[in-house]
Amino acid sequence: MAYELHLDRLLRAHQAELAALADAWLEAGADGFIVASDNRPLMAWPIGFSQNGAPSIKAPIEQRGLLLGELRVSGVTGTLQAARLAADARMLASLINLEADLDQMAAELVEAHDQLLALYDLSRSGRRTLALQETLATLTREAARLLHASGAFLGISDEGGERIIVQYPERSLSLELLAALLARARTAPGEIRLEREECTAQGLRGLDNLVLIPIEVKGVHNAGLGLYHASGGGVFDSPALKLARSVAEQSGMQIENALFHQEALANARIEAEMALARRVQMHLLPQQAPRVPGLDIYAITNPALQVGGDFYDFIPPFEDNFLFSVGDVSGKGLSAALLMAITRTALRSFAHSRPDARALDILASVNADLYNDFTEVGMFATAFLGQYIPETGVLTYVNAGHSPVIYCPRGSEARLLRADGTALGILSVSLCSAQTLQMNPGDVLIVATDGFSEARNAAGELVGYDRLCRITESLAHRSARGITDGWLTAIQEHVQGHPQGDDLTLLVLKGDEGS
Amino acid sequence: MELRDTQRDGVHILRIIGRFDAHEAKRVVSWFDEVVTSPPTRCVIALSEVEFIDSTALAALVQGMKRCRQLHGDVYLCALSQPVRTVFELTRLDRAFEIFAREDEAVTAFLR
Repeated sequence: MAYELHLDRLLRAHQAELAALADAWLEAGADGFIVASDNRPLMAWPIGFSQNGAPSIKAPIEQRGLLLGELRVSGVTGTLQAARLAADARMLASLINLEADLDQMAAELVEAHDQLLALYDLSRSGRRTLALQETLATLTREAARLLHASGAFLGISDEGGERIIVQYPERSLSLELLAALLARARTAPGEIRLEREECTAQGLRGLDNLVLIPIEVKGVHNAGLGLYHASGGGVFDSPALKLARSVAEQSGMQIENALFHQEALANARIEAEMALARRVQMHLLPQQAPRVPGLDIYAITNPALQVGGDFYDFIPPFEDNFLFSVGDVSGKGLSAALLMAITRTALRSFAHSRPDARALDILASVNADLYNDFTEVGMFATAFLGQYIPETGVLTYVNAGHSPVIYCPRGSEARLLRADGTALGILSVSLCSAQTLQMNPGDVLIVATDGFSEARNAAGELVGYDRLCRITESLAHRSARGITDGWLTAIQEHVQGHPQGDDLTLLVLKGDEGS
Repeated sequence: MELRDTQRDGVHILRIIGRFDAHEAKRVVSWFDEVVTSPPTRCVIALSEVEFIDSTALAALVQGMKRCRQLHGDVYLCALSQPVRTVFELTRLDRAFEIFAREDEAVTAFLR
């Protein structure tokens, strides 16, 4: 605001005080007292006084080096009078300064109040929804309304480069052009402001001006709020820009909330799907141990994550030819679980389709069938396939890279049965051969997965194979379930609560000692 | 886990140091991605300073071996530490890989 206007307003606002000042000069012998600006009298005392010729004394009203006007007095002279008039002029200048500060403060107060109201409106409208797309639509619409802009747009891109752009009014501007602008905003040092010519050069025809403010979401400038005026729509002055920045900041917070909500929903969905996958996987495993003449059987599995790559299976019929398998797919989690299901099903299907097949043939065929699939995903599966004939008590087994497998004949030392072939999916041709065991009453065979042998305590000490053999010997007098429980207890005692990262599966067969 | 790679007479050599498990296996897969490009790809993996190896890590080695063989090369292993040797014997991966006592023996075997 021009100081001249301040002077004019000051004269009107403080007419009484100025009249008192003028009266004091008139009482001191002055003929007239004039406040002038631009060589034009603004006010004069006595009323109707008209100055003829030059004033006797005059003093400039200056503010920060700027000449605002002049005080003129006629009819008195002298140095003292000149100094008095100069002091009066300085007092007026000081009053003008205070008036200007007051105006400024009042304007800022009104602006702050307007902004607070606008932001309150924005946050209130943003609270109604947490869905990202809807949040962006609301923020865009409200930003355009609050800033009295012709239109607005909001864009956000995630780490994967996926981008969402929402604009108000819908389909006003080309999404490709907006995407290019938003990409520019991500690396720009500050906001981007385009005037009509630049808008046209960017392909944004019909716009008078545009401002694009980068928005920080999760600590990165990966979003932006754009506002524009169409032809004749106005300009973004300083208060509008300030408000736009506040709106952008507020938008950033609301977008973050919406993203957190979206992530929470996605996580909840994944958790629900994983829980379902776990149920499905658990359902694939035998729900109870079969009754097989001459054997006491017990098995458990405990995935490290929701689902795992370990499996065990009992393949019917059980009475005269009992087939069972234990396997461990490399890795953990969902990928391992999928391959576990494939491997378990392939073994079972082949056994069903060829009831007279030997364990060796089954494993070799499954390896040939699954080799390419395993190669494709860079994984493999160890597998132990056993075939027990109740009539003879002979157990024939094939071990494709599986460990630990522990055999403890009654009253003897437990020993590790080493694999003789590589795991499924490593070589296109199986190198396994069939081995046999005589399962007499009291003999124990344990087929576990490496989650047991590799369980470690806080000091990093593994359970190891020797310890598992000693544990087995100490438990061999128990039932299959008793041995299982004893193994689990022994492992827990070893690891002392140290978290384990691998799946645990254990199958115990014990030569039935009768009741 | 630390990886140190060198090259000798066209043979890529990778020394793995520390715990080689599911968390670290991806780095070895990436290393194979980088070096297994044109035939014949010949790699030597030195495992003398590996204190622990799990099935995901073994799968990374198997995956690298298969890819090298597809490109008329191979992966030779050398200087297996005792824990690694035990795992290789139990899983019979010693039947799938060529294993040498020393690194220079493995490299020389490629050059013969």
